[in-house]
Amino acid sequence: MKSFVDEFEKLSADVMSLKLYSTTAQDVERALLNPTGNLSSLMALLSPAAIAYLEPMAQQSAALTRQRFGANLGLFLPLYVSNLCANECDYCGFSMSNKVKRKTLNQDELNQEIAIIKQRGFDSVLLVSGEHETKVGIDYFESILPHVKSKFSHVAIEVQPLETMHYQRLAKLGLDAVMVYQETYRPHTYAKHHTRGKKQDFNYRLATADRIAKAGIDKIGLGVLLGLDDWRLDALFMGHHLQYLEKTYWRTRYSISLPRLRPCTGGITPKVELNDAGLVQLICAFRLFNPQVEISLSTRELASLRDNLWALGITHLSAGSSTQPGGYLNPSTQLDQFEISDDRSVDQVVSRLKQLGFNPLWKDWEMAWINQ
Amino acid sequence: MLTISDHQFTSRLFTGTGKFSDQDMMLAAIKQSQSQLVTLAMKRIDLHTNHDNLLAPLQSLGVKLLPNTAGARNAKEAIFAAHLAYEMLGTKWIKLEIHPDHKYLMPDPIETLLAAKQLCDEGFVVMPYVHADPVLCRRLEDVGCAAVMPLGSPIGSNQGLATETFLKIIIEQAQVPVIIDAGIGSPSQACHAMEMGADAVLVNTAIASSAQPEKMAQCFAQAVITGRQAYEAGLGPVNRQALATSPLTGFLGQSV
Amino acid sequence: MDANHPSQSIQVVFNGAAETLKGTVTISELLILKQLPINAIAIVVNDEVLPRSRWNHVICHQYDRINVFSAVAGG
Repeated sequence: MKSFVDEFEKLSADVMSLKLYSTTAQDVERALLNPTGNLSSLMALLSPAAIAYLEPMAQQSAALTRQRFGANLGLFLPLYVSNLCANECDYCGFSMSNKVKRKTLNQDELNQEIAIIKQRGFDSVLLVSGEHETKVGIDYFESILPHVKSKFSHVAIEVQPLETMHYQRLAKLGLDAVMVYQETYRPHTYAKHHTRGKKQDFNYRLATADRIAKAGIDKIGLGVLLGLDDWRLDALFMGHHLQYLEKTYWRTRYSISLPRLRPCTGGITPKVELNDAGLVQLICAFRLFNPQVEISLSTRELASLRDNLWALGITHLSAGSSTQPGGYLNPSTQLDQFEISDDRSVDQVVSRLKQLGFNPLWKDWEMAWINQ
Repeated sequence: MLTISDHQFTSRLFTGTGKFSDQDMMLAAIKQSQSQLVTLAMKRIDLHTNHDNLLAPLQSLGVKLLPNTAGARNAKEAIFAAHLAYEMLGTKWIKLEIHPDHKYLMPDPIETLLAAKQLCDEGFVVMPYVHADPVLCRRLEDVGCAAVMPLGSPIGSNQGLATETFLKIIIEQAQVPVIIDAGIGSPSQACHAMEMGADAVLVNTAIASSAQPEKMAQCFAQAVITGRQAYEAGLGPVNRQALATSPLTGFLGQSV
Repeated sequence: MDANHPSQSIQVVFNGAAETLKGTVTISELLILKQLPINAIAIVVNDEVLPRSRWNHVICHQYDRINVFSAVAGG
């Protein structure tokens, strides 16, 4: 199957890195005049030389986002259905050798979580699981999806990579989006952090977005775990990935996520530090590169920082999240995938958003009447 | 070098054979244009007149012949015309042209897509002439067309690139060559089309109806070369003034 | 296909005009008869394109509509 893997193999990380780090101020200025769809411009905007241009980047990015999305910010909530996992990933609390209590929600427990989420007002949910093919695989997802879809207008999943035909089956049941993060686009680094389980297969994961698109799923979410490797380079690779997907699967919508490595149960420290200015640079660079990509911000950043980031290019956010199965009914920290940083309730976040001049949206109106 | 299907072209100016005052003038103009691809129509032979041998002189110029389906009013007739062309000329290259609208000669998008799909499935190298509709061009690409030919303005109108905004979108999104066809009225317009990133342009009326077609053909040839070279050299960015509002990154403080 | 009797004549419509043909006439023979070039033309018999390979084998029948097309100048 033709996929991004073919394109990826033509890219030279060494050449890209060299060019990125020799970007000049002039290159950045030129990039700012012609950023859209231009990978050379993206490279310049991700480079250290662009740090001096953060304010003009932010101004342009904010204006572009306003033009495309208005003041709308979409709200969604993650619903962890299982923390069973057959992979060993040293940055994650669910890693298979971590001694945490393992849980997969049964139908009743799922219903209870859903009831609480609905009570809070959400209409868009992201079902999350670890990666356990045999115990929490396509059959499990197929069994829960119809009920979840009957309760939420928009349903996304973030689970192990599946086969095209699995995604097709889920699409028929109303699945709207799939998030699959490559974590890092550097194979050597990838191998260091993924030491057991199917997730070790870099290329299989890399081709997943292609399989999702071929299955006709409406939206695909990409992401890197910033800090595993050089975040500037990983972001640039993600830009290549995004552009390839948009060109090849033009009917599909795309979203990106920019999670920074955080302490977790069993934790590791970032290889390359990504400070707040760097995060600002990432958001703005991607918005300038792609005016229509959705940019999602999770609760893994401090409340005060999040409030400063909304305007820069964010389109979707979560609030009051729990990252453990059954965590809405019974909040506790032991089962957490990552420590959360924005502890505000959704009501607090919504009120703050309105104060800042935004329009928090519960429902994505486009999908509301396309019920499969 | 422009590659369409399995053929390579060094010239990005394609020409038509219509509207010239006579055949000699047509051949002379095509020669001056350095065009390597020339479109022709098909008609039932008129038994009462001498049959000008059109093809032999064209072939001696070394050009590739691209028959078109002009006259077809729907997909069925266009497909029929394509089969005719194959028998006649032995080529599977076909320019799909379906315009039931006699006044403005606007191409029918639905019939064109239908015909394109069937002809592509039959192994034809299909080059569809359509309005500058980005989604339509994607759909044509999806069914296997070897190129897309969006119009600049109505055939013969010499109005230039009235569809410029949409041509740019098509050029940005296309994975097959984009040949801007119809309405290009002057060498500067052809140059502009190439500067925008078009892979080629097709010019007929502007050359044929000029007072000096040979000279005009020469000008078009130069314009297309210049436009393409400028595009490849990388045109300077157009300055866009941004309206500054209150600072957005002040919160980062000295840590920047 | 039945051959016509040598002395039999048939009516066909050739490029829109009525034609009388005597005996068994193949398409190829008809072209020679009308002094038409063999190359760069296409033939349509009763609304179907007739492949070149069959011109020698197909015989004209009563009321056949035969049309010959060639390339002409045109955008």
